[in-house]
Order: sequence, then structure tokens, then C-alpha cells
Amino acid sequence: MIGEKACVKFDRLVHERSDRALSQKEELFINQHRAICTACAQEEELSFMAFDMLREAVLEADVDSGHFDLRVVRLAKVQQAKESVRYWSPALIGGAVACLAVFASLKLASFDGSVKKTHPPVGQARRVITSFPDLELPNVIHRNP
Amino acid sequence: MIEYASQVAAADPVAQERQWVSRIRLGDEAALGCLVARHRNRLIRTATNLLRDRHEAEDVAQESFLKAFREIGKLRDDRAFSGYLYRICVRLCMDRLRLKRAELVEFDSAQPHQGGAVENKVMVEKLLAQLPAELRATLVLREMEQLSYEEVAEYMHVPIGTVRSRLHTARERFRKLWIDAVGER
Ligand SMILES: [Zn+2]
Repeated sequence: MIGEKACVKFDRLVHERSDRALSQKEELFINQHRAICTACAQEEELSFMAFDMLREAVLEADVDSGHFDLRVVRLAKVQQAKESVRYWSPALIGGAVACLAVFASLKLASFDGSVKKTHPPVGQARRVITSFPDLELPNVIHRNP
Repeated sequence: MIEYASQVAAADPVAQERQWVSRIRLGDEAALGCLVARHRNRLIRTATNLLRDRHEAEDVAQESFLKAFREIGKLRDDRAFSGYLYRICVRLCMDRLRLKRAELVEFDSAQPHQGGAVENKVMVEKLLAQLPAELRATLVLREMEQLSYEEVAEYMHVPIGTVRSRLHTARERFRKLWIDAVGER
């Protein structure tokens, strides 16, 4: 019941004891090893003191509960309002742009054209292709400014 | 707010919380207050023990509530709210601990220690400050907050096996730091 292997087992079981109930056999091993191994007994004692101190150092919440609750609820409401603005604003902007587009196209459709159907332009615009390149209009203008 | 809480007080806590969550989704301010009142103390206590700073803990608790309310619509199960809230809180505390660790305070062995309750708290604080955020949070949640392995795993968002191994390492390191510190006393 003594030796490096037994010390390792003792250490492991001491750790596990805080998380699960040890079997009778394991408890017996711990008791026997503690009785014969001073180093392990001392380590166990120090561990016990260390974790005892850790548990004793627990801090309790010290808060003005009414004030805290009101503040959180108020901030949550502000947050909710901001979120809904952020959620709806793209839809609102999209809607506004669509309305503007519809308005503009209706306005354009109601305008009369610059050339009225009742007053067709006089004369005809015609381009004549001849077999004489010199008589083509651009060439004539170029030569006789 | 109080009236509303008393109306549903007869119901069981889980059903009550589910009801509050679904009412918050509909914009019910009273339900918001009820949920804050239910979790406030425990949440601030957990943050206080993780951060060892009451003012910072209050800030973190407030931030956790706001984040949880902001994302309440994403929750698939209304019963999952409290787990979600504590997970946010632990994550925020760990982020702050990581930042704090960068500016780690040296253990002052020249300081007189008489072993009083306040002295012990200061000493625990300094020992915890020497542990990495993950180990520190695991140790505090298990040893100080007395949470089960399952709860620690849920709040830290890690498997139970990870909690087990982290806790083993954290205990070992805390014990060694404590023995060294006591030796210096
Ligand atoms: Zn031994």
C-alpha cells in the first residue's frame, strides 16, 4: 500500500472524492494509505485547507436591485426601439424610392411630346447615295466651306 | 411589474419563465422586469466571483441581459433562456479575464498577512489571477458557485470531459500556488 504508484492513486482518489462518492474499497485504500504515508497525508491536509479557503472567499452579490432592474429594463426598451428602426429602415427607404419612381414616370407620361401628331414637320429628310463620292454631302461641305 | 409576477407565481418556475420569454417577444415590458428580477442576483454573484470585482460584475450582468434580450428571437426553445443568459455572462467574464491577465498583478509577498477573512479573500484573488481564464472560470464555477459538471459544461460551452480535465489541472495549479504563497507567509 506504499510506493509511487500508491501515492498517485491516493492523489487521484482525493481529487475524485470531491466530485463523486467513492466506493468502500476506495475509501479503505485512502484511509490505509494516509495512515502509512506522511507525505500524502500532509498533501491532503494542505489541499483541504487550500480549497476550504477558496470556498470561504466567495463574494456575495451586493446590488441595489430596484435600480439595477429599472436600468436594465429601460436599456432593453431603448435597444428594442433601435432594433426595430434598424429592421424597418431599409424597407422604408425602398418604399420611398419606389414611390418616387412611380411619381416620376406618371409625370413624364402626362407630358406632350415635342413633335405633336397634329403638326407633322414639313418636308422630308432624305439621304441620297450616289455613284459620285465627290457629291456626298460631307465631302461637298469640306471642299466649299 | 410586481402584480404581474404574483399573477403567475403559482405556476412552476420553468413554465413561468417560458411564458415570460414568449411575452417578451411580443414586447411585454413587465415580463422583461420579471426575468431580470429572477436571474439578477445569481448572475451578478457568478460574475462577481469570476471577476472578483462587484462593479465590473454588475456591468457584465447588465450587458448579458441586454445581449440575451436582443437575441431572444433566435432562441428555438423558450426553456433555454436561462442557460443562454449564463453562457453569455461566463463568456463576457472570460473575455475580461483574458484582458486582465495581460496586466497580471504580481503576488506581493512583502505584504503582511494575518490570515483574516479579508486577507484570505485578497490572497485567493491573487492566486486566481495567476490561472489562465479557462482554468480560473472552471474552478470558480465548480468550487465557489457549486455548479454541477453539466452546468459548468453548458455555461462554458465545452464538453463534460473538457470540464473534468480543466478542473483537475486547475485544482492542481491552485493547490501548488497556495502552498507556495503560504510558505512565503
Ligand atoms: Zn503516498
